Amino acid sequence: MGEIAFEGIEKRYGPMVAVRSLTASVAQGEFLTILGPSGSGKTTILSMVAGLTAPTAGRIRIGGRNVTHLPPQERRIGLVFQSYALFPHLTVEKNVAFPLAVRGTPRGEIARRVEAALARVRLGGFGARKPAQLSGGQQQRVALARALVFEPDILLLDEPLGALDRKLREEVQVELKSLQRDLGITTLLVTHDQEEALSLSDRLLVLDQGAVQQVGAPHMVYRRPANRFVADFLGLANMFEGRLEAGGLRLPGGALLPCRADGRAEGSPATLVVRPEHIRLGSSGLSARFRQAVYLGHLQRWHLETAEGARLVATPPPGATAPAPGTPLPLGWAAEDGWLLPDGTDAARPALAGTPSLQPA
Amino acid sequence: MSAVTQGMLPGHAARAAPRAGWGAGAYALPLLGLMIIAFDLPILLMLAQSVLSPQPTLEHWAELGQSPVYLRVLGNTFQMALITALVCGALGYPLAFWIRCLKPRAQLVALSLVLLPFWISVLVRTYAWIVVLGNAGLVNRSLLWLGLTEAPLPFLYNTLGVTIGTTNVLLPFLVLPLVASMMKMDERLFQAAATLGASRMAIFWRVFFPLTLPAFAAGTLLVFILTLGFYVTPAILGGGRVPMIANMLDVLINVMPRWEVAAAISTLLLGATILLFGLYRMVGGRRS
Repeated sequence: MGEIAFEGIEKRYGPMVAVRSLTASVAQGEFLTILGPSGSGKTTILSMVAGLTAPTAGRIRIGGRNVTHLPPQERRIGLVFQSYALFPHLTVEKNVAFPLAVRGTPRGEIARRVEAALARVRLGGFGARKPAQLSGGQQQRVALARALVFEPDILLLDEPLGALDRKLREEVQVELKSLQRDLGITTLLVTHDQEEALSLSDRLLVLDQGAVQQVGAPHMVYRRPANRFVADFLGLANMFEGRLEAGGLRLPGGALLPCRADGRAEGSPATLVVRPEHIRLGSSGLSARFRQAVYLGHLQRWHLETAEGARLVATPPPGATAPAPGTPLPLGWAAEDGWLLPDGTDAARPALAGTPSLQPA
Repeated sequence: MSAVTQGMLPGHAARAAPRAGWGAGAYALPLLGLMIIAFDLPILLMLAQSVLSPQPTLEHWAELGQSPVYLRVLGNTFQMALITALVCGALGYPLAFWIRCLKPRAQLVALSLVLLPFWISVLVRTYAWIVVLGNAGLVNRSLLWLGLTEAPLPFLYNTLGVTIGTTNVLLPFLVLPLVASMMKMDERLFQAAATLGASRMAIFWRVFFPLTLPAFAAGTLLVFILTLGFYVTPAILGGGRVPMIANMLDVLINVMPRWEVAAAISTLLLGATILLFGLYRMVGGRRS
């Protein structure tokens, strides 16, 4: 079985750096998601694990085996492409049988395993159809069955839900996660969709411009972002810049915002991150004027503006009625819900990208 | 207002509303009429001679069935078409595959070389083959000089000569659509096959080849159909010893003259071609 280890992996295209010295590991049975905007190098990483792209430097190990220079055929990986890449000329059955057939598995065993694999993704009875006769969700499940039928060491997923409509997505997410847990297969998923990343993974690896920004459990990365980029990219974040004081962060405008400044020097500059759902309306601390409500069905978001012109987003309690635009609202949050970005990260993203660091989960 | 706009753009109108399609079709009517009167009607009248000349009769068709000469030439023509199609297929597929594997710039050069024969007259090309393949030609002189053969080899005025000629003319008809279909294929299918454990050979035979098969079959069939009507190449490179339908029609019309039998043979050839064309469309249509 497989744990994956990246040892100083780097990929350069001429002067362009796609991935810079990546050192990370995925434990046996773990579900790790590489999350990043497009162009962050996440697909390059996936394709290096699959053996479709050769790294410029560094080593990749799967299950302790150095696979850096092995062709994809010998890596024992199941890869699900974003486009599914099903063979259009073969039936569903033949598609799933493909990895077994090329390994010279006996016919009887192929039939048995294909049937089991299709049953596992709830596509029993679809074997005789051609991929073009299936819906997007069904094609995706065929691709998954095909990637798993030969019992690979690891499973690689490239934006597996990207082509599905919203409603189907959550259903597939739940199914994918339970399948992965049942099989206990090490899984590496690549996506730019934060919802997908948060819901599926045991751990997240946030990537930007080819450099690792943060690694950790989804709730840790969400609640304790390592820098401005992570705070901003993952969910909505209200960010305030000021100087630390006893009891909170003093804004240039004079307001004192609640937060815990454990061990940080008083008077030092800092950036405070507060998630919209932690903002409590009515408790005093900061005053902001109401601008606009965005209604999302299951919740609404209120967009606010402070006297200094800083724009905020808050999630009001269910059923709250939006006030008239311009209405001043007092707002606050519990001190433990205010998160100070670690020292030296706020204004220094390029420097961080140059010296990659990987925080333990 | 929209009707006015549609009227001004007949092409768009036809797409927007099927009923407006008549408006677009109307522009083509005079041309269509001309085609029917000046082209289609005379051909049909000519073909009808096989059963109407001098009075309604089946005797010309009966003659076709009774005389072994006609059947032999028909058989010979289909045999030539088959050989040409097979040779074009055997040469064209590797050629197309090779072009696909080239870098973009080299692809352009290779495709231009494939297309080059189109820019030279068939007549010139065919006579050029005589210069190359004749008893005192380039190939035979080289072979003699190298001592590989004692006497000049008979490349011309036989099936081999005609095959070389027809293949030379028709190869682009197979290679161009085949290259197009190969270039259009999704690279990720082969990557997927590789990650699933397929060797290069397995990827080729299990994924690549089956996916190119419709275009390949359609191209081969097209070559077959086009060979059926060849005249110049068999006349010159066959030297009259490889008679094909078109050459026989020439004799029937200009030498005999037996227009009625020629009409019967032409009808037969037209029927066979339409049948094969239907097959070609069917095979080609499965591509997408």
